This record gives sequence, structure tokens and C-alpha cells, in this order.
Amino acid sequence: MRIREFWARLRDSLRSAWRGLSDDTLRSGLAAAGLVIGAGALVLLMAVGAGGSASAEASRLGVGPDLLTVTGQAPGAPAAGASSLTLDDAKLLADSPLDPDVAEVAPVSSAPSTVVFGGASVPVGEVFGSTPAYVGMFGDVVTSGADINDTEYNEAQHVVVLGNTLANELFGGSAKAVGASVSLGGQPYTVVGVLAAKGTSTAAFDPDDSAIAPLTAVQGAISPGGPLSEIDVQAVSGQTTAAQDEVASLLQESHQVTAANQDFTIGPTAALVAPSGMNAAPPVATLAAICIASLLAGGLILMITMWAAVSGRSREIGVRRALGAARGVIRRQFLGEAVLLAALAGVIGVVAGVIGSYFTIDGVKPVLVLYSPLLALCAAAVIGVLFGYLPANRAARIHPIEALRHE
Amino acid sequence: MSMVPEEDGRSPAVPRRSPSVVQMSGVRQVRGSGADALDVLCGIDLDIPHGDYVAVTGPPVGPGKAALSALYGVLGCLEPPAEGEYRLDGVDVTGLEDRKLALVRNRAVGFVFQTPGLMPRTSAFENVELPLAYAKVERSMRRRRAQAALGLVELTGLGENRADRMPVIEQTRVAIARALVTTPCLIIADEPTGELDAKSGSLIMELFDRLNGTGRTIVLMTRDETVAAHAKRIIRLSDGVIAEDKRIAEIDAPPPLAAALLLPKSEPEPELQPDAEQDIETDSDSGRGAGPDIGADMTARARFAGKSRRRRDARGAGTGGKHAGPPEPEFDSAEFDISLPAQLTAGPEPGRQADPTRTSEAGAAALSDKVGG
Repeated sequence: MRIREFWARLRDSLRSAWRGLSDDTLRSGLAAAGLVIGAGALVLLMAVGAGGSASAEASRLGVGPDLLTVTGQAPGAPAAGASSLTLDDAKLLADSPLDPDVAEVAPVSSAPSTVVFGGASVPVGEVFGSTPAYVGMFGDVVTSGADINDTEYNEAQHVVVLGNTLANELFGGSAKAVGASVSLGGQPYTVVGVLAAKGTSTAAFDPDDSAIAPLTAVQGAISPGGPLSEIDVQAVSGQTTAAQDEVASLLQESHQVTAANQDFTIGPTAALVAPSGMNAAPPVATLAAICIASLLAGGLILMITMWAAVSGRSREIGVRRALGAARGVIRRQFLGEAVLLAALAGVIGVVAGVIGSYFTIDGVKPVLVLYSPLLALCAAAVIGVLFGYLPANRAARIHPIEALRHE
Repeated sequence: MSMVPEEDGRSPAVPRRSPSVVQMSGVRQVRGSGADALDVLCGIDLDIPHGDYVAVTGPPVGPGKAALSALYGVLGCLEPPAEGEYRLDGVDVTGLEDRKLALVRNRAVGFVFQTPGLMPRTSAFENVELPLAYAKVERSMRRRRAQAALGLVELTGLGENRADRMPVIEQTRVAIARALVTTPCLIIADEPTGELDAKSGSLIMELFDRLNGTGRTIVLMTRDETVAAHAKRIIRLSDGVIAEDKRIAEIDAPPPLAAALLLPKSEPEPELQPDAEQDIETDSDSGRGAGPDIGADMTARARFAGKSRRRRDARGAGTGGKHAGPPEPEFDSAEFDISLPAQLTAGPEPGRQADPTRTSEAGAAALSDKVGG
């Protein structure tokens, strides 16, 4: 009974607050505009932030601490120099029982090249000739078509997986690329798959502007029988250091060198591929703080508009006071209007933000942060209370006699 | 309780707490502060008995206008006087804080403003129900009483219409219904015809005459002589004091310009409805259910019951002007005495005495407790 009474009263005050607001929709709309933008920005920016850090996370995972890169130059030597690594080294690392902490080995032969399709010629930053394991090691995902499989590798078939940017440039979409015949380094290749956009790039290397082909096929055409550019080693999770030592000793023995004069370099891939600081998405918390600040600005707009509205409604306030509303009742009425307006603005903003997060923004696919709509709504409502208080208090202080007998 | 006639000859159904609605003594009011302080009311002594019909006038500009406003404020319990004592229906409201003053306004004063002052985008019902909503009266009861009040101002059946889209005269009627809905002991109308054309104005004044004719105490704040002419008593303010207090007609007599309306008619008076008392019981039950303080309006109603009886006696079988005739089905006339005064003129039933909490004394005491404590 008490609860029903409470709901009835809540409904009454909601209805009367709604009337107060809908009496001047333009004014209410203006008052709410700032909060709509603030709440929408909160949801959207948090989604963008989460999306950015998600892809950053993904690429960091792909080139994470468990990933080692062996290059065929002595430590400190220029990367352009001749490589000492061969496919035999890769086979040794893959087959030897002396490196239990090595999970995967991918020999890589890479070189810049050019893809030609239907008269269009697009330079490729890097064509990686490697094994089927390579795509998975770097956290790449094939969005269209398929990964290179073992048969294609073993038979040295001329198939290629294109980076996302490449596929878009040549075919205008990843789906259209699959099955097409392109010319890669003068050789005919069939596109079997397209990688998902990674969105991360460094000055030296853009993973979206690359292509992956079977090492067997690439070595025949681009660098036949030649040395490997690098060998990528995936260590057993958490055993990177052990894996690095095992790989070093195996290669030293095979190359008949010592640690002092070794002709190869082993290091974590992350350091090579993703220089720190670049592409790091701003933390979600920072974005949220920025949005809360914009919500506060929206609150100020709300306060100013309602403050002005109180003067226009002084007569109504006088009537209500005469009919038995104490100051507190008037204050609650205006506070209720402010909170309702702020909450409505929050809802509209959240809906807009959620819709906005379905679009890719500046290369980042936003990921809706689940608690962000709730956060935006609560922030808007709290702001409604805080910034509605001053106008509500002003309304409560209006002198009923002056309001009623002012002619 | 037996119907012992009081010295003025009235036979109230219930004893009244105070013979007067308004008792003011030495009321002073100040505007501004410090060096700018201005005495706008300089010692007002005023006594308005139940059933009186008073017009308060004053100079239209300057301090005189401020005096009128200030008296309006004190009379309507919008603000307490700076000095002096003010008893409204026997309750001392002099030093009450804002919340309690609001309670008194809600229960004991009915306001009719210069403009209708209706809430936008709101039905006539909801406008009339507003004071009851502030009184926290339960919803269905609010609607019933709003219906009855709208019936009193001849707007039966228009309750669902949006009030702000009605013609001004009907808006004014809605505003009057809103003032009546809590059955206040005092109705204050501030230039009630100010926004109306002459014809509408005289219709509204006719309505006030009728309301007074059935026992309601009305104070008109007006500078319009034609409006003031409707009152039984004209009070003129000057320099913050009452310069003139002229009685035009006796309290017991019909309003001076309404005599024609109240002439005895040959039609038989409507039958007393057997369930009339029952309706009152239901009403007071629900009223108390919504809070003990609602009892104040029952004081007023019961008082007018006695009043109405006297009025009916005075003019024979006459009924309340245009309201003569059988009650409309949805009109819960038992809650208001104007339409069928005969209903409430029957002496108190033993059943009512048996439960003292249902008498208006209890309600009156409740208001006293509430505002005095």
C-alpha cells in the first residue's frame, strides 16, 4: 500500500515535471543539449578508447613478449647486410629436441614488391614468404578467404594473402579480392585470403600494406634459394628467456660461432615491430575524464537555462505557493524537472553514442564499454541534481505576493 | 450535540471554533529593510465573521497599492505579519514557519487570482486537483472532489478538457473551482474580473454572490467599484490603515446585488437524499485516510451546513440560483452544500457523535495541532 502510494506520487511528480519541461520545448531542448552531447561523447569516446586499446592489445599480443625474432646479421650490424640464416637453421630450430621452450618456428623471407591487378599496380611494403604458422604467430586474422594451408606450402603454390589496405586499394573490398589473380613480382598469384585491418603501423612497417605467400613459392621467384630475412620464434608462454637461450646455443653450434662473434641477433619481436608510444590509444579513464568535463559544461548550460526559466515562471510559482506548496515543494518540483531533463538528455546521448559506436572512427572500430551507458546516465542525473539545485532554490525563494500581484 | 441556537440565531450542525474567520489585531507589515524600510500596514484591526462578503479597496498606485498587496499577503497567509496577531478560523497563524503557513493556505484559504493562473497542458480536473495533490489526498478522492467543485462552477462534464484551451471565462471558473475544492473557510479573490470583459465579469461576480449566498466567506481585493458593489461590506485602505469600513448589507442578508437571484421560488425543494450523510462519512473517512490534517475542510463544510440551513429558512424553499433542480448523476453534491443545501441541514446523527474522530472538531484540532505544534 505504501509502495503503491509512493509510485502514485512518483508518477504524479514525473508527470508534472514532464509538463513543466514540455511547456517550452525549445528552452528545455537548449538546456539539455549540452548534456546530450556530453553523455553521447562519454559513451562514444569510451568505446573508441576501448576499441583502440583492444586493437593495440591485439597487435601487442601478436608481437608480444613470447615472440622472438632472429635476424641474420651480427648484433649492431646494419639490417641491410647479408643474412646468415637459412631454411636449414629454421628446420633445426623446429626439429631439434634441445629447445623445448620453442613452440613455433616460422622462417621468413621478405622483400618489398609490387602487386599488379587489371592494369593497376600497387607497391607492397613487404611481401613475407613464410610458413602457414606465420599468420597465427603475429595475431593476424584472415577476414575473407582462408589462410595459407600446408598443401599450398608444400607444393609451393602461388597463392597469397593480402593485407587489408592492399586489398582495398586493388579491389575496393576484401571479399572481391579472394579468388582474383594478381601478379606479384612478375609471377601470377591467386589471392586466397585477406587479413583483417590491424590499424597499427610504424614508420617502417605497415602490416596492412603487406602480403603473405608460401616461403616455398616466394623463394623460387623473389629470392630463390637465398638466405632468410629472419626466423620468427614463438616461445612457450612465459618461457621467452629460456627459449632465447636455447635458440642462441643451437644456432651458435650450427654456425660454429660463439656468443662473442655470433652472426645473428635474437630479440623480442615487439621491440622491433612496435616502437613504444606510437599508436598507443589514450587510456579509457582519460577519455572518460574528458567526457565528464564536457558533461559538467552541459550541466552549466542546464543551470543557466533553468535559472532564466525561473523568472519566466514566477507567476506559476506564485500560484503554486498560494495553493499550498511550501518552499521545499517548489524546490523539489524544479529539482525534479532538472533531474528529469538531465536523465532524458542522458538517454538521448547514450542512444546516440551507442549508435555512433557502430561506425569505424578514424580507423578504430569502437568497442562499446558495457558500463558506459550506465555511467553516462548516472553522471547526467547527478549533474541534474547538482546544477539544478541553484535554479530550484531560486524558484523556492520567489516571493509569492510579488509573483502574484506583479502587473 | 443538540442544536442550541447561538446568540446570533445560527444553529450550526457542529460547534464552531471561532465566530470569525479573520481576526486581526494590530497587524503591521514592513517592506524593505534598514533605511529603506517602509511601513505598508500600520496597525490593522479587522474582524470578518463567517459568511461575510468583503471588498477591500485602496488607492491604485504608490504605497496604497503596496498596502493592499501586503494585506492580501497577510490575509492569505502568504507571509506572516511583521507585528500584531492574525487568527484565521481561530488558529493563530502569526508566527508560523513557511511549511506550516503553506499547510494553512492549502486547507483554509481559497485563492482566485487576477488571471486564472492555470497550469499549462493540464486538464481542468488536474488543475482543480492541484491543491488536493499538495494536501496528499488520494487520487480517486481528488477526482471526486474536483468533479463536485467543477459542478459548482457549472463546468460539469468539462473536466477532461485542457484548461488552457478553454475560453477565459471558463478558465476563471476552473480557477474558482480550484479555490473551492478544499472547502476553505476563506476565499480571497484578487481582482477576479480584471481580465474579463464586462459580461463575463458580471457572470463571475454572480457566481461569487451565489457562493456567498450559500455561506462562504469571501474577500474581494479590488479597485473596481462595480466589483466592490457586490460585497456586503467595503473596506477602504489608506496610508496603511483602514480608513473606512462600511457595511452595505447584513451578514445574514443575501449579497446586495444578488437579491433577485435568491428570491423564493415556487418549486418544491429537492428531496433529501437518504445517503447524504453516508457520503459525508465516506468523505471524511478518506480525508482522514490521506492524513489527519485534511480535517480542516470538514470544519468548513459542516459549518456551511448550518449556514445553509439558515439561508434556506430565510428564503423559504429557494435553492442556490442556477443550481436548482435534481442533482446530476456524477455530481457528488453531498460534499458541497451549495447545490443542495437541504441535504446538510438535517441535524447530526447519533452515528456521527458516536465516533468523535469524525466530527469536525477533531479535524479542527488536527489542524491546530499541526500548525500550532
